Amino acid sequence: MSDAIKKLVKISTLFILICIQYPCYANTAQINSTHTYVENNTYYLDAAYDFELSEEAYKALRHGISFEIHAHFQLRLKRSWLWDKTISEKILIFKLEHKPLTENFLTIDLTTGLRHSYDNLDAALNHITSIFRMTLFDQDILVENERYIARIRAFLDIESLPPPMRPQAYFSPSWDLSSEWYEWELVR
Amino acid sequence: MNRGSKLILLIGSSLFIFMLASLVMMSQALQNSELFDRYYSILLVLNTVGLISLIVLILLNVKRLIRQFKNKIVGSRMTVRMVMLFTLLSVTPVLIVYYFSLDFLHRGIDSWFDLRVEQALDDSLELSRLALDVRMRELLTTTEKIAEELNETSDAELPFDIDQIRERISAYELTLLTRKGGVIASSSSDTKTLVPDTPGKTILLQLLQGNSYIGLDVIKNANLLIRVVASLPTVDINKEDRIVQALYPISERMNQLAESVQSSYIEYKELSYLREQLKVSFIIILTLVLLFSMFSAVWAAFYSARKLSEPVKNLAEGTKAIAEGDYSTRLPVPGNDELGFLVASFNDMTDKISQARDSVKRSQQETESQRNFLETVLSRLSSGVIVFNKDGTLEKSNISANQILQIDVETLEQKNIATLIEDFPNLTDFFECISSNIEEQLDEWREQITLPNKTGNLILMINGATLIGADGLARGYVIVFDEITALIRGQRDAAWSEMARRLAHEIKNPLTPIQLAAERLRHKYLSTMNATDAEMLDRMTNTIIQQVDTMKEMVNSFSDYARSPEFNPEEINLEHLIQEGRDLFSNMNAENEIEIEIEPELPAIIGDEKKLRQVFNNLLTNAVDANEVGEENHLIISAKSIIIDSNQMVEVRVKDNGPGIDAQVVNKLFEPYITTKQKGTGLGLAIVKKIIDEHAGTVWLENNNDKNGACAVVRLPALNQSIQTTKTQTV
Repeated sequence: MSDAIKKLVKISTLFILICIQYPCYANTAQINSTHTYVENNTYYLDAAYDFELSEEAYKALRHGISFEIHAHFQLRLKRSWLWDKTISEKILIFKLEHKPLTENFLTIDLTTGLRHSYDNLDAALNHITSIFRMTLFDQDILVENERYIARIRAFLDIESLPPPMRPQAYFSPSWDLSSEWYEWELVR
Repeated sequence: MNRGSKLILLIGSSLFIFMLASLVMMSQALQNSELFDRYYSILLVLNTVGLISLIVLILLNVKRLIRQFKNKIVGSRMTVRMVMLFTLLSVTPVLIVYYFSLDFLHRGIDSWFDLRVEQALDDSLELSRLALDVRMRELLTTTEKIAEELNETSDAELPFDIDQIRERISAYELTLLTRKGGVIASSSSDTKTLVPDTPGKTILLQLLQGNSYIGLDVIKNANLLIRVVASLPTVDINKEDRIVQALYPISERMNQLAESVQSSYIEYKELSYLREQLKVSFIIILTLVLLFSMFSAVWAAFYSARKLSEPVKNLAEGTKAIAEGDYSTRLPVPGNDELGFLVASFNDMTDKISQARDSVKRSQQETESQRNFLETVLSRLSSGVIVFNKDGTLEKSNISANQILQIDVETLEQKNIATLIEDFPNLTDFFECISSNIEEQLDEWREQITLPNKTGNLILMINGATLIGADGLARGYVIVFDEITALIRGQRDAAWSEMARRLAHEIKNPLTPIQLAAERLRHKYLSTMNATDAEMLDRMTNTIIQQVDTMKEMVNSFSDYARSPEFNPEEINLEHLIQEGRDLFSNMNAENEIEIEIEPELPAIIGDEKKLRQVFNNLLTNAVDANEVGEENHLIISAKSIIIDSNQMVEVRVKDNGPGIDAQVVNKLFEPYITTKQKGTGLGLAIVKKIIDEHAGTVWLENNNDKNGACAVVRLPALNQSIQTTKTQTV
């Protein structure tokens, strides 16, 4: 192998490692608490999480860029020999916008279409990050004596950003606004 | 086009179309196309992968080309040149366009943004706010009055009065709440709304501080509303503090204008914020397009160069194959263009060369066949044949030439005739004869020459002819010669035999009557004559009788020479015959000292004993007669076995101690009537020659090396050789 090719391989490896390492630096979202409960044979979720916009993200919001913040729930069946199987998942998507005329922050629940306007960002984020009575799944899908893991994470969907921003957003820690998976066990 | 080329073309074209479509979609996505917007990132990755594929494809091509160039594969240099040329021609304009496009891109995007436009948008937004501000102040006053009014209304009347109040103030929604946000009473123009929109915590906090709230807001229907929240005046300490919230709609027109101003402002701000990212994105797309165009052009250059150089490479390889003698090469015709015509012409040429080669091969085979035929004929020809080129260099000879001239003529090939004259003094007459006739430039000539030979003179009849080439000029000379010694000798012997036979017949017949008549004369008249006459008669008749006897002897000799008695072959031991001869001549004269040297176990021969006895007698007679009368004769008779040309022979030598033989006559003494003796008939050696020839042997005379006397040499085939010779002759 020639020196030039060796050099190219080294640079490529370094680049890939840097890309992989990026998400480890920023963790601006965090799931604080979850509570699942059953009513009328249906599982519901109450959850609260922190979601903090980076300076760059706040600046973009103030400049008319709208965000989509996802709360992604998964129910997974634990298996001994195979990888876990996802048997149910729900996504709660909120759109966050800034309205310059009223200087308000608008939240739109894309599932229900409900809009709420807030005169400050914290209030808007507080609305988004408080999940109350989110319908998850029927209790019947849980089988006795099986182990289930429920998990949730919140993140900013980079694909909701305008296309010109996406390449940079994928590689910038300022835009890596996502939490780790928060897991808890469910047993019927 | 073969399957590999089709596959490469298909892959290349597919990649080209895919990347082109992908770039178009990316461009559309940047322009906010909803269809491609969500695939922007994937398209970016796919384009990068496609680009990397193109780079890999090109690198593979470059590597292959370098390998071919290093290995000096035919056509590689041409491909390199064409690739470089195509690449230069295609990449240069693309790079120029890229450079100016970048410049235009920067200028174009920057030109979207202007401080005046930004200021105008800010002002219009501010104007919208101010326009609404007047209305909002009016509504605040109205709402505060309503608060006072509601404060005076009893709780029982509230559900009824609140509707009237809302309708009177033309509010969208009117709600009475506790300080903590609990709804006491509410009225809405939207009958579908069951739950009223409540103010947020911030607003409630602001009211706690004693300030009313007024602001623009957006709720369910996305239209702008004016939200006014005011505290009710506290009258009763025991009564919980209350607040009233009124949502006033804005006129449709104002709503549209406000929304238009706001959306324009947001759009401008968004573009302003995305300015650099937009530039980067456009540069990425432009760079992708550039790289895609460049690599496509380079790959197309490789493909085109290979396609163009392929027929030339085939032609070069085909030419090389033809140069190496392979005329079966057929090249695939690339198309109907000039290259195709060239390749087709090459194939035609190869066909014609192949046909010509076959024709030449056939001619060569025919020539070879004719040459073999000629060589076979020449080798079987009893005549000697030699060929000289026009410069007088010996080029060809046959076996008979070797046998006749008794040299290996083949070793003399490529030698000039002048050299041959110098190198072979015994053949000088032969080569000089040829040389002189060649110099005279005669078309045909014929000459007879005699060459001195150990066993006698060799008489050759030489025929010469000039070989005329296709151009009509002399290209060589062919010499055909025959040894006619035996023929001449045979003719001469026959003539002499005939003459001897006639002489004997014509002379011998009258001799007897002459002798008888002489004897009768003597007998009748001798007694009757006187003494003197009687003496004369006696002397004369005696002379007649003696001369007649002499003549009778001579005639008998003639008769013996002419006569060819029956040949009675039998196994003969020569030692016995030699012993007899020695005894006969020793007894005849005591002065004859005859020494015998015979090899032990001398091979026997096949022959006629009587005739061979006569041979030795004649040779011994000649040896004895070589010395003058009274001189002592010292003869040596030797016999031994020798190998001549792989044939076993018995050689007998009869040496005398006489004066030797004159060199001028040494080869003529075997001819009839040639003699050096005064009393000889000249037939003794002729008879010897005749008998030895009948025994397939050779005989010659030579002077001794010590120059003391002469030697007669007789060579006869040994018994085994005789049998083989006989068998060969029979076959």
